[in-house]
Parts: sequence; structure tokens; C-alpha cells
Amino acid sequence: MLTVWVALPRLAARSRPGFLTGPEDLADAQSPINVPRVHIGPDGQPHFLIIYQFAEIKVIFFLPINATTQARVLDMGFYTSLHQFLAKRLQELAHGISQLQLRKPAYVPRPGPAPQSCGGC
Amino acid sequence: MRAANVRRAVGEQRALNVAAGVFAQGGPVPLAGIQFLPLDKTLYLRVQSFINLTESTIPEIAYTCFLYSQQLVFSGLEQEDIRILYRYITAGFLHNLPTNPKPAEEVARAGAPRQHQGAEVRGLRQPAACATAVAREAAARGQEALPAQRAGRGPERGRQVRWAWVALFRRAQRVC
Repeated sequence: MLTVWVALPRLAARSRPGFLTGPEDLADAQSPINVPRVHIGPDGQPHFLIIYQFAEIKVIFFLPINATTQARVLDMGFYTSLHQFLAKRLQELAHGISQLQLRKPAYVPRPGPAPQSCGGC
Repeated sequence: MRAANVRRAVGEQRALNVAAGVFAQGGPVPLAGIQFLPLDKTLYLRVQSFINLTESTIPEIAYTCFLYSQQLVFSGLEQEDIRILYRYITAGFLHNLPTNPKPAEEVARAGAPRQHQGAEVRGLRQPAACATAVAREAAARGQEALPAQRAGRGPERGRQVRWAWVALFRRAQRVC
């Protein structure tokens, strides 16, 4: 029961496209912007982590932290333009992948071979 | 000894058959804790094209990952990084990140420039290890003992221990 509770992401139920990390509300210019920082790459360089969700698709962006990106991630216009850019393209991709999922038969694991006899042991 | 070897060989063959069946049937492919989404060539190229277009339009983007229904389609990260990040995303770790402590109206009223309110992600700690660490720290401060020590000894002991661990895990989720 605990495993299910831990593994169930609340944001999976989100249906409206938007940013999982970034501004909480794109329509509100004063909405707080929460962008986590992660250390990735061979040198462990810090990056901003921006996650955009459209239907079942999650697109994750990493922006290296410098003066330019620090100003951009705090700018609501950046997220608005990014949303406009992503939404219409992801709509086509989400439709294509969901159609493929519908065509694909459900995965059923094949039973393995019967255990061999070990000669009366 | 011989029987054990036969059993091991049968087990390995069965595991190989299962893995081969997964690949042959085009089902989800779990490797190293990451579930990949198999796509046909055209769709994968469309995803790749979308990512290339996005990265060329917004040159500040260093890496991009693409997931569909908790399954990985494309990742520009190294394997070790994407493995950790995948667990962040699919285990709901991001929900536990601390958020803006001040309401937006309060920040705006103060007239201060907008500050970065994000959290520093320092690493994923296993819930079990984290819960044990929380319990040990609390026990060291004399606040409470480990669940097994705190529970009584009657017939309800098993249930008490289970619920104590559930409470501890929930606290660890908040703390870690």
C-alpha cells in the first residue's frame, strides 16, 4: 500500500497543458516561479530544470545557470512564448503516439519453458 | 550441487526468454529502472525533429528529455543522470520540493524585484534509508524511539509497528 502511495504522482492527473516546474499559473503575471536547480553532466554543472506537460507528454528542459538564463527563467514572457511554441507541436505528437498506442496490441508476457527434470534429484 | 546448477540454468534461460519476448512483442522495455517507450521510425523521427527544432529556437536549452506516459522516448542526458531524473519524475519526488514561502501578492506589495524561488535538488534519498535516518535522529534527541521499540508487546504489536512505519515514511517524505 505504501509503495502505491509513493509511486502515484499527483500531477499525473493534470489535464491542462502547463509547466510542472516554472510558473504556477501562466495567466497570472505575478504567479510565483519555482524552478529547481539540478547538477548534471560530466562536471556536475548546475542547471535549471523546466518541465512542461501536455496530456501524457512531459518535456524536460535543462538550462545552464548563467546571467542570461537567470534573467530568462524569471521572465513570465519566456514561459508564455515557450508554451505557445510547444503546445501546438505537442498536440500533433500526442495524437500520433496515442494512435500508435491504440493500434498496438496489449503486451502479454509469454510463459517460459517448462522446468526441465533433473533426473530424479 | 548438480541440481542447483540445473535450477540456475533453467532460471537464466527463463529470464532470457522473458526478455526476448518483451523485445519481440514491442512491449515496454525496462532497463536499469527506466521504462522506454517503443515507437515506430516515423514517430521517433518526429519526436527527434521536434526536439531539434526546440533547441535551435531556444539556444539556452542545453539538454532535453521527452517522456510519454511515464515512459522515456528520448533523452539527451547521460545514462546516470537520466536514471536519477527518471526516478524524480516517476516517483513524484518533485511534489515534495519546497515552494515559494511567500504569496505572490506579498512579494509584489513589498516592491522587491522578483526573486528565484526554486529549490536546490541535491540528490535522491531512498525513502527507507531516509525514514531510518529520521527515526535515528529523533531517537538521538530523545523525542521518539524507532517504531519497533515504541510499539507495545500485546497482540496489536504487529499492527502498531506497521502503522508506526507508515507514519515515519510520511514524515520522511516531508523532510527528505
